[in-house]
Amino acid sequence: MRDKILYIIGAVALILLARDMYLITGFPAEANQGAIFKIIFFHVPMAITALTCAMVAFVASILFLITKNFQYDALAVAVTEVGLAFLAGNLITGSIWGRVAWGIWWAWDARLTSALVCWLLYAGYLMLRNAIEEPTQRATFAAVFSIFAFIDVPIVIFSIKWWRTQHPQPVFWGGGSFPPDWSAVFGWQMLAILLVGVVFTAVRLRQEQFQREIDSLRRMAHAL
Amino acid sequence: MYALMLLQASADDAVLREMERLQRNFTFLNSGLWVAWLILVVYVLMMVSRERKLKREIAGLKAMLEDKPRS
Amino acid sequence: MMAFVRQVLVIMAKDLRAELRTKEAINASLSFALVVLLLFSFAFDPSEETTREISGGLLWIVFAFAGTLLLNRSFARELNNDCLDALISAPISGAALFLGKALANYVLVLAVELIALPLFGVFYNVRWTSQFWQLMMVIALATWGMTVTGTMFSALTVNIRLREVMLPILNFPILIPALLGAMQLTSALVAGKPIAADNDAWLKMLIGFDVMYTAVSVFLVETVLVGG
Repeated sequence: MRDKILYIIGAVALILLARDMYLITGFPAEANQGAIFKIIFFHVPMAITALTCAMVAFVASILFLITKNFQYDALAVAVTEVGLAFLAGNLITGSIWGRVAWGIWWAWDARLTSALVCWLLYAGYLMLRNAIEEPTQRATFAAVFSIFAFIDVPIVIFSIKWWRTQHPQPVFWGGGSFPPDWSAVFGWQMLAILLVGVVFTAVRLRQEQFQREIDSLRRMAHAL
Repeated sequence: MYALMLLQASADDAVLREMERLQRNFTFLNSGLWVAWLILVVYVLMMVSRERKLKREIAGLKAMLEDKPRS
Repeated sequence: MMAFVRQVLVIMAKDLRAELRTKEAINASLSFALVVLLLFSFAFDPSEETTREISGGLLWIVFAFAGTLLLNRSFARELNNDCLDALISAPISGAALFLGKALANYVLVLAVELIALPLFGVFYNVRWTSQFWQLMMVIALATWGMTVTGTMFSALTVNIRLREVMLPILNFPILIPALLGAMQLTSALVAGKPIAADNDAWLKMLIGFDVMYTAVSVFLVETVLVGG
């Protein structure tokens, strides 16, 4: 039953993505930035999905610390990993956009920089998990770190914004305008990418359950 | 006459440059979209391989557990 | 309340005494700071005016790395003879244990910083004393942020493989806002400009960072100690 729902969500997401790709390539190039502006259809939804993932991870971590229910721990890992994948997509598409718009692959633009810092933060989360063997300890420590990391996200974003506005800015984000008939497609694309995120998370969650099953089987094998 | 030709030439130049710019723009958009898809596909492949590994491990352990009580 | 303060002070005194008897971490940290200060002189022309402009960045990189060496030892020191288990089962709250350790680390890191700072001034010909008290305030605030998260992560990483590597990997990304603010303020102060309306946002951010992470750490430390 659960698998069936997953397949349906996945199929809907794929159809939406294909439809949006078709529409996006059909759009005329944007007046100021040309064709490259259209990358926003992937770039921004990926960022928003990643942020949503971070939020879910934060809530799941708190719930784990309160209830000690390993379901929440599994959710936190799943969602963090998926969020990292999407944030990587966001960073790389942003970098490609920057190469055209600014002429360089990496300008220390406020948004790119804070996205990179957040990526490092959550990569640290996965590394911490990898380094701890004992499941309860791993879940508890990872949850604590996840809370620390999530608190840091707004501080990072604001401080890097201040940092960049203090310096002479070589580049600006602006220059592109969003034609009104793009908004609807953008909304659908947003939904499609979010759905992809949901499917990924669900699959990853099931893998965590497999892992726990393996652990318990191992324990049984040891007991025999 | 000569000035007109020069004007024409520079206009042609501008058109060419503009076309080049658009082309480059387009190439980058293309690669950007490819990369976005590629990341998703790579992540899916990573998950599939992990899933396979986990299933194999479960099967192995189950087989082991079934063997043991009999022996 | 008085009992809590006394417990914090006892833990702090114990840690400081243990460190000052062996001096292993503080010696390592100090010599490391020296070596890095020396290395920077090869990377940048030390007599150049531009070096002064990035002095805040240089200083805080030295402080952050040297501090990490000290913080690594904070909980690792208790591993021998199962001291950590004894401390956890002692009749004091986790918060008292954490604050005591954090304060001890704070004193040690500050000591290293206050030795490295004049050396930096001598090596790079920087007159860092012109805004002395404001500089001290910035150092005190940013160092507290560094030690409070560092002590927490020291507790998180004490039992795991690759402990020495994991602490900076976890701590530095979290610290980026605090270090960024400290670097901005220090560069301005070392150049002789007092904190004014254009950069007091950094000071507020530093204070907010300290308050927030101190509160969260004190709140969560019990789960970490029991879970570990």
